[in-house]
Amino acid sequence: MLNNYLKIAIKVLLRRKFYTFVSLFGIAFTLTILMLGSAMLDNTVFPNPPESKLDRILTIDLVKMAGPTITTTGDPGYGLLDLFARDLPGAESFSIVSDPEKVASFLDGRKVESYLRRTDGAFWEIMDFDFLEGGPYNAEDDRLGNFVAVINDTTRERFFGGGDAVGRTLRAEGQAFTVVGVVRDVAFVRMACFSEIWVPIGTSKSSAYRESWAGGFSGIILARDRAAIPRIKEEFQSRLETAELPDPERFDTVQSIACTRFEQIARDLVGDPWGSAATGKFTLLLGVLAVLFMSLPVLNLVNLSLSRILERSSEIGVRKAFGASSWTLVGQFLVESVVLTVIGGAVGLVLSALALQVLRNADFVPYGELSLNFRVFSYGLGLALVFGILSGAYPAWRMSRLHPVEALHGRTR
Amino acid sequence: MIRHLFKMVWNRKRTNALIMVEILFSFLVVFALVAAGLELGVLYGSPLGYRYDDVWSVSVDRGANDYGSWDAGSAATFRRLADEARTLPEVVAVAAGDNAPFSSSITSSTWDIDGRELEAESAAVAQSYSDVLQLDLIQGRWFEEQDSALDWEPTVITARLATLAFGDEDPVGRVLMERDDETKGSKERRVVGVISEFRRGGDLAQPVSFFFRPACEQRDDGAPLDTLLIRLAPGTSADFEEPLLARLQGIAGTWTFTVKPLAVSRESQLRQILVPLTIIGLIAAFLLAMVVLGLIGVMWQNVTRRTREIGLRRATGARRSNIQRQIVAEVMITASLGVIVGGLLAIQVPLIGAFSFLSFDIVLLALLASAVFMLGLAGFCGLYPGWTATRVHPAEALHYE
Repeated sequence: MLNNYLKIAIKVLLRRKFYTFVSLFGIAFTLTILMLGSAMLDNTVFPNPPESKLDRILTIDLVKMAGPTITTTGDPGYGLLDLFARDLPGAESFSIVSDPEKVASFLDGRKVESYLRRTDGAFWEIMDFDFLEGGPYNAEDDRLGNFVAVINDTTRERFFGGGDAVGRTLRAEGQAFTVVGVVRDVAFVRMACFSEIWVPIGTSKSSAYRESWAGGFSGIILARDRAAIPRIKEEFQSRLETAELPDPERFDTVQSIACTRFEQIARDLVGDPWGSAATGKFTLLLGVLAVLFMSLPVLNLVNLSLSRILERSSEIGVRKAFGASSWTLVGQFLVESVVLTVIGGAVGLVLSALALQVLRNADFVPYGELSLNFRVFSYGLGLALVFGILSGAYPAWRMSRLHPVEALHGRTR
Repeated sequence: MIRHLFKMVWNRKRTNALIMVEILFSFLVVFALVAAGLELGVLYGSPLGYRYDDVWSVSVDRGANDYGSWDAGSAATFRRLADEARTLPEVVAVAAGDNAPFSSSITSSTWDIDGRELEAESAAVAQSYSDVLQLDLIQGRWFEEQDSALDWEPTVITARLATLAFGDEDPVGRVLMERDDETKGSKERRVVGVISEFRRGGDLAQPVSFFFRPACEQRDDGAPLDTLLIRLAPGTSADFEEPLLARLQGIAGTWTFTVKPLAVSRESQLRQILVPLTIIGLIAAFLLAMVVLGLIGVMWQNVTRRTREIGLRRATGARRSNIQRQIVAEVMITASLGVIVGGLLAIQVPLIGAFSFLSFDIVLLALLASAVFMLGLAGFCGLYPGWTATRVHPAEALHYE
């Protein structure tokens, strides 16, 4: 039966090329946009190297200190992370990293800007970098403040023309570092680890950061397993509640939060840093946006399929006269519209791959690496089904209600 | 004739209702884009109040972002940095401040003026700031060397703030008090000058009220100084950055300096707004193309279904142009219903005060423009189906059944 429906569906599509083209254009375009959106989300939220353990990673990148006259909200400082986020029960490892900042180097009088991040040794154990040559630096290098650096592939190309870089010297921000390792480029969206040059925190120009509670750093906690995440969060909260602030006249309360990547993004976009509702709101928001965006193409498709019923009224009349129930007909037409959207989805997938290629080459964000993977493909398929059912349901219902005598007669209301 | 057309539309209300809803949605999309475009166009066209070309901003990171660490030593180093930069031949003027144009950081405060509450952004700046950015002073004076001897704090405000605070009265010499000034025991603040405008947020930002305070050397009531603005002789090349950085680094070895021409910051700020807008615009264009093709398809199908009706009209003497006009008029009536409903929805935007920065004029203009555009689009969609309708041969059409 399904086989027959499929055959009919293909025949119908081939009969009216204009309609098929318009419908496919609409479906493919809509699904392309939705797939690009989900590819972006996927590439940000799901574990991919170097953040292979992302589902166990919690980040602390927001702190709020309030006092009688001033309130400051921003990244935490090294001091606060060092005091309160170390050795949380349930945590396997903990690392403190600075925010990546643009630093200038001068190559033959030409200015080159790179992102530089200062990290401790544990960072390299939590993250799963793919080393092209050499290796990471360790906690000892950080403690001693050794001037060593790990750079990415692009930086190697930029500074050393692609040859071996390990052992060579790289100047950035007025400091000279010896390269100890080269890693594959990291996507910009990998917020916890992205950079172009990584150096030990111990190489900072002054040691003022050690005492500072606010500014410039973030903490990365690797949980032993996912079940330990809530306990880690709670423990961090309770440690902060009993914290003694260094300058109580200026600031008397401190607030911070350890969150997963999804919570982090939801928080940034929904803008509710301390509430727990941000993730729920964010999911809802995404859903509403997707449905709103689909509404116009769906309406368009409904309009088109409705006008196409009339062409097929005699076919429907015959089927009804021979005893097909309304439900059978609804089923048949739904299959037809799903076939159409799945074909559109396939075209959309090809288009998204092309669009991603263009986006990557356009270099909107540094290393804006986006890729289609199996997961994104399955989102696409799911979206295509939803789209097909949304746009096919009403026309199918209308079709199934045609009166057999009138339909055979070619008259429709 | 019009009544008759409405009747024709009404007779096919189910199909037409769907077309109407489709037009309504498209209208809202077009309206939002046109309104945003107009608003940004107006903002882009209005003056910034300063000149950014040949100005570099050097953001200074003292290695500790804590508020407590600003002291007399830092202030002295900052002064030495400015003096050092001034000795270079390429440099025309140097000014320290706690804020640079085109940056995202904001210092704002609330004032009480005769019981009214006023929000204004501010910046603490050195005396030479006006020379570096070539501010447009329209009344009174800028900060002077002797100001530090005063027992009150001078302030320079924008014309916008002057009008909001004092109406038509002369603002120079008036007192401005910040909400919590009295509790903090700060010095009295008096207006000494008025500048025409200062849009720190850049070309596409909403103009806000702004005032300048003189940068004190030991401030403990706000953010410390973190920026040097340097005006260079016209034609200074980017190569100058290296010697400049070397000089600054020589004064403060542990501090970190990041040099950026204001023109570059402006560019990247513009791009941040325009790139997403362009992407949204492209998506909307594709959506509209889809709607146009869909409408043509639906109208065409309608016309084929009405072969007999059209044949009858032709047989009773209607001319081809009449038929064409009927089809186009019908689709435009359906579209105008959609546009009217959409217009009623869109006009709520200024009425309920959402997006309050959009002026009523812009909303009206956007409504008008998008209505005309959608009607034109609908008419365009009717052209081809209308033309097919005129090809109907009366005899054949009547023979149809």
